[in-house]
Amino acid sequence: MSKLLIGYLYKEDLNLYGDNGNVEVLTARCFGRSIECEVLLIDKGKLTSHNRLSEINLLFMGGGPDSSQKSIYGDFLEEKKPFLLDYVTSGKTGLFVCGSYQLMGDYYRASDGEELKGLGIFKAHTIHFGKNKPRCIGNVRATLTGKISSDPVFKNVNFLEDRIVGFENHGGRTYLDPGAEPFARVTYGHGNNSEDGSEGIILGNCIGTYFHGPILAKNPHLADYLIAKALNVQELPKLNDGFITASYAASKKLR
Amino acid sequence: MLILTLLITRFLRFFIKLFGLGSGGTWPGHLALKIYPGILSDPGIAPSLGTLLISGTNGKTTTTKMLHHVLQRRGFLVITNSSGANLTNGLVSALLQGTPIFSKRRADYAVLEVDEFSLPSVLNQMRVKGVVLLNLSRDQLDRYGETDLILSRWEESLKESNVSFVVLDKSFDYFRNMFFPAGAEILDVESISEKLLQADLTSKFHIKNIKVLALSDFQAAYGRGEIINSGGVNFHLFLAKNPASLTTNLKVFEKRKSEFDALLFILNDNIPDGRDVSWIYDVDPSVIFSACKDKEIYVSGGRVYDMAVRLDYAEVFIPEENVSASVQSIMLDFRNMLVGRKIL
Repeated sequence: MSKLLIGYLYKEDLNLYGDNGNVEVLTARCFGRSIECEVLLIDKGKLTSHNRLSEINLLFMGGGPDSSQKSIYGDFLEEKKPFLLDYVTSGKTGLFVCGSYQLMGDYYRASDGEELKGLGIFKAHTIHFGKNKPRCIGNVRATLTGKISSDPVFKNVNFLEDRIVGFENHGGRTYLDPGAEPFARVTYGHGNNSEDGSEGIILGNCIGTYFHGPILAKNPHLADYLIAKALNVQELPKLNDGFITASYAASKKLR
Repeated sequence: MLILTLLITRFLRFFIKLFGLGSGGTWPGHLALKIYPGILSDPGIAPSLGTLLISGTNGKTTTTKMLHHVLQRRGFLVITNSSGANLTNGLVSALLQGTPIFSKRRADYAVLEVDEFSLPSVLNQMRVKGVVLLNLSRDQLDRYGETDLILSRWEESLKESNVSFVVLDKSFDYFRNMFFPAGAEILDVESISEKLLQADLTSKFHIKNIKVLALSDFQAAYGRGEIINSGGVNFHLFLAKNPASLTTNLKVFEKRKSEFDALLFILNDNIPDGRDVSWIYDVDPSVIFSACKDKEIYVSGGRVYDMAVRLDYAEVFIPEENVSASVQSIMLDFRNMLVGRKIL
């Protein structure tokens, strides 16, 4: 089996709400199956210093407090855009949580009206309504949309169900453009905007989501799906997931 | 108005105590604020020598207890909200306690721990002599939004206030860039020499907090390194509510590996704990692994399986029978469980 090379963007600046755990989970689930796995850290600065960018088969980026997101913003827009555009459109696998999901969209309009341009890769935009609308905080659950749930690879690795569980915490509300495909449909909680029931976005094999938990610790079936897609394999050996299954079952009852 | 409020709340407190309905730490203040919303600004409830506020993410209760201890030993009459009732209602309850009615003596000082988010509104309302800002780390972000927001509110309210001194730790970047009121003296904890400190408190936060006071004899606050003996077994209680405090505790366990046999992790997600438990993944798995290695591990709490999964991913071995759900988040139940459970 080939090797998983995880590209981890801005680990130092964007690691709020345990999202670091997503990379830890991917690594551990590969290790448990004797799949070779390595993490390549990509921080601020020129991409030319990395000579293995083309070998990355799973890209991860989290979110951070406003100050950290501001500190990577310029670099993200100027240095990383061409690479990311190429990565996503070539159908490679990626996961963008919270702040990075927002920055991958067209723009982010802050509560004072100031507009931050995004990468425009995800066809979506985010608006922060300030005090006019409450923050979207709490336990959240959603059903994966057809793109993933009907994928034979997902069916092979899924030992739970078509649903995902997590915790969300975002002030900005994201609206998908017509035609853009949501990652999931909210069954409990807010999702993208607390209005249209959509949660996240899926484009090719890249997912943008508001789910923390961390999402891959809470949803091992999704972690395995990403690993299988990244390695381009149809199935993966089973792991002993007793506690994880119990945790997933318990999370379905959280209020 | 103040007299009426005082009479009513004293009465309420008397009843709470009489019928064992609680400690009277929050309800009198809650009622007082309903009757007299401006009570915090009333000079009538101010202690005669001044009010000191302690705020920050980690170490509030411990520091408050220490400061209270020091002032009391110097002969002052000091009131405090030692039960951790650190929202406005808890503060008002404490201040009412120190206010004379009929012939009781007025308190000299009030030493009050204040919730990070309540600090600005408290500073805006009452005259405060000094503020101790401990630290600010990602804690209960789901309740409060982000740390940046808290910092800017602290800064704004301090600027408007007329505090005479602020104690803080300049090794934290965010304090270095903060703007303080011109008239206030800024005291840096880092400038106190370690040699002055003797207290045997184990973690980094504690040492920094001791530095705030530089004192030598002191008993740990409830749940903060407290030791309980039951049936010949010592139970050592640690409280962690964010990655920084959990990491500190785990490092203490690793350093004192020979002194304990078993570890019980209890994870909860009630509002005082923070609803989001994602933060347990912000702790380095190798730190978790080293602390737990070769020890019998137990897991419990409302989010027992999240904790078990987290330990599992850090390669900690947990026997299935050592995992059981459903423990109330309150510390008393935590204590009962430790005593009632056969750990050794």
